Amino acid sequence: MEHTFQRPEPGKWASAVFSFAMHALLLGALFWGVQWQSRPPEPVSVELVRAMPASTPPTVERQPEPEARVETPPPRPEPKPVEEKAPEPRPAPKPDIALKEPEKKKPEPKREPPKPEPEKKVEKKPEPKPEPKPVEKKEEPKPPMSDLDKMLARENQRVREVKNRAIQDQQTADLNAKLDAAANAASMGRAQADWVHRISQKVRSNLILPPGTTGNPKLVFRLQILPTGEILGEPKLVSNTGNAALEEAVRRAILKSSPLPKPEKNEVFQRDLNFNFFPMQND
Amino acid sequence: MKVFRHAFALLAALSCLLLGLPASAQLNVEIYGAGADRIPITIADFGDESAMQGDDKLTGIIRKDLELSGMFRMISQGTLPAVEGTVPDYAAWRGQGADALVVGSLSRNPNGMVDVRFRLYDVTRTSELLSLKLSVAANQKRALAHHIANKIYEKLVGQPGIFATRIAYVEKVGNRYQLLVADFDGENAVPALLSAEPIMSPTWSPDGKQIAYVSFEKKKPIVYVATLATGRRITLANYKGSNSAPAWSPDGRRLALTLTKDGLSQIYIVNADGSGLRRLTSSNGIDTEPRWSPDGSSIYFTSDRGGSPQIYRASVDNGNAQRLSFAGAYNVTPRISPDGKTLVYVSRNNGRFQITMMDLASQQTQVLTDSDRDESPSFAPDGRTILYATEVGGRGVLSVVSTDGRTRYRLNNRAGDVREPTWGPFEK
Repeated sequence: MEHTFQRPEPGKWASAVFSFAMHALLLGALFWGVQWQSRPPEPVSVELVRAMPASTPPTVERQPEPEARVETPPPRPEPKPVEEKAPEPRPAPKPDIALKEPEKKKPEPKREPPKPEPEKKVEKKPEPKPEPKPVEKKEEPKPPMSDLDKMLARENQRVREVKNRAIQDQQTADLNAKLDAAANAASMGRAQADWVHRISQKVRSNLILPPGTTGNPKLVFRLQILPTGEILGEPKLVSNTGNAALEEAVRRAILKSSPLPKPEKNEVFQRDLNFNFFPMQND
Repeated sequence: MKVFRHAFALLAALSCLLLGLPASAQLNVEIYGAGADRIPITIADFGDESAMQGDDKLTGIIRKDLELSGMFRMISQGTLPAVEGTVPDYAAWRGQGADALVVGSLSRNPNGMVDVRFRLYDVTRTSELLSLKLSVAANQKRALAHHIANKIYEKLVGQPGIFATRIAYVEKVGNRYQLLVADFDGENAVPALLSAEPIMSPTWSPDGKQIAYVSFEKKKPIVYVATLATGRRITLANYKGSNSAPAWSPDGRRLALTLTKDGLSQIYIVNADGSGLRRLTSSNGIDTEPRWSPDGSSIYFTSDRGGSPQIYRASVDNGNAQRLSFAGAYNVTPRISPDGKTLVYVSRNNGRFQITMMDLASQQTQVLTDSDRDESPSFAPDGRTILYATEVGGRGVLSVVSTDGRTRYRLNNRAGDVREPTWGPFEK
């Protein structure tokens, strides 16, 4: 008799493992699914209170020269030890700046006079290593500054300005994008409102109330449509009125309206629609 | 099980995410009111309609029935083929403007009966809604047509049709009176009673098998109850003075009526076999024209106890009455709708006697007719169609109006003076 109470459980562990694996998979998929989920851009309403910052990029073509000089000094004294560190940091800043460097050069055309300086620096630079360090640390130039330090400081300043300019430009671009989005959203809003209105008109024109409809019923139907406006399947009644004849009449009106009007802008199309009927009200 | 449900919910959520269906992305569309009031329908000619006897066409009667309801608009068949048993070209019918299509065929069978097949198609949904096959006698054309019209109405409107119900009315031809029972459209009238003296106030029993009425055949008004199938009748009330205005209780076991045996006209209640008489109202005015409420608890009637004829409602238990009509100096002949929510009656407006409707909940009234001498309103069992008598050129005629104003027509097929119409119940 005992065996009737202890039923064999073949594959118990296998199924447990499988279950665990499945849950892990689901959780993983859920996590990544959330990560992937891209939200449609929300309409942003922006009030323009002042003119946008003008973004007139100053144009200068001089840049190559100074940079070439800055680079040249270090390699000479210590080709070997510095090579590994010095070349690397410098190329890196360049590409970053390169995009916007043209803008910067203008404010500082005075660099040309210091041309002779590199030569002096070369002489003074018995130890090449100090050079990279000051460049990094010298955000704020200290009182006793060598010419090289000054130059580096200027260069630093320039880099900073470039960065700021870049940030500003980016902000301007962002603002522009937002304004564009807002204008776009406004026109989308109009297009959607127009679409909704035309759908409403068409369905209304097909609605025949059953005799003896009384009170102020509200019916909510949910439906899906294709981009062609065709209604997929049967509209689903969400709220119950208890008036079967009325519900059927409304369902019939919806179906008869297929295909629904298409939006003028495809972007405002929505496949999931909620129809809220107030058959005894006249707007 | 819990785990399974959990897993299922998770799976559902997952599939939503993977399919990129945000649950909240629904566009709301508000739709106010209704823009149409008639269902466009095509009733195609049936195959071999000559199988039925009589001149008018079967499909002609079906079309007329549906049109009288005010709920349908006939769309011509045009050149489209409509053969029973063949799937219709839905797109073509839709293009022609029809929401629904009826096709059918008739054929004589060896027994002398007529086999009828008909189908109702939903053009919008491209599906068959109804398919029926029956055998009828060749002279049952009108009954068959009304039956088919009912089926169509029920399917498309979602409520029972009244096409197979009957009406009764009194016709005076020369010096003779007859109580006629006819189809709802006034056709096919059959005399149930002939008399050289006036007949008044016919009312149907709730089961449609009997009619109570007042006859002057003994030179005074006496209330009788006649069984239609057998012609047998009993005397319900023959008391001193006037016996009039019978009305059935919803269960058919009692009747209310007006007697003058104690002086002024008052309302009494009596069992359907004439026994158990008891007085309901005790006023110092004239109380008459009782009608039972659908729930059987109260009785609507006319009384001039307040100085002018107005409509009152009394409890069946104790006769305590409450006045319902206040507008105007003349409101008589109350008739309550089958759902108990609407009252219609005759009111005098600027010297014109017209059918008026009152929503009992809101006390709002609305004049339904535009004639001068309306009387005897009677609700059809659908609760929206009202039959009444009016006068045209000094002759009584029957008219119909619906509470929603969708339909309004006259039954003008009788040569005589027609009065006192009453609409029967749904056929059982």
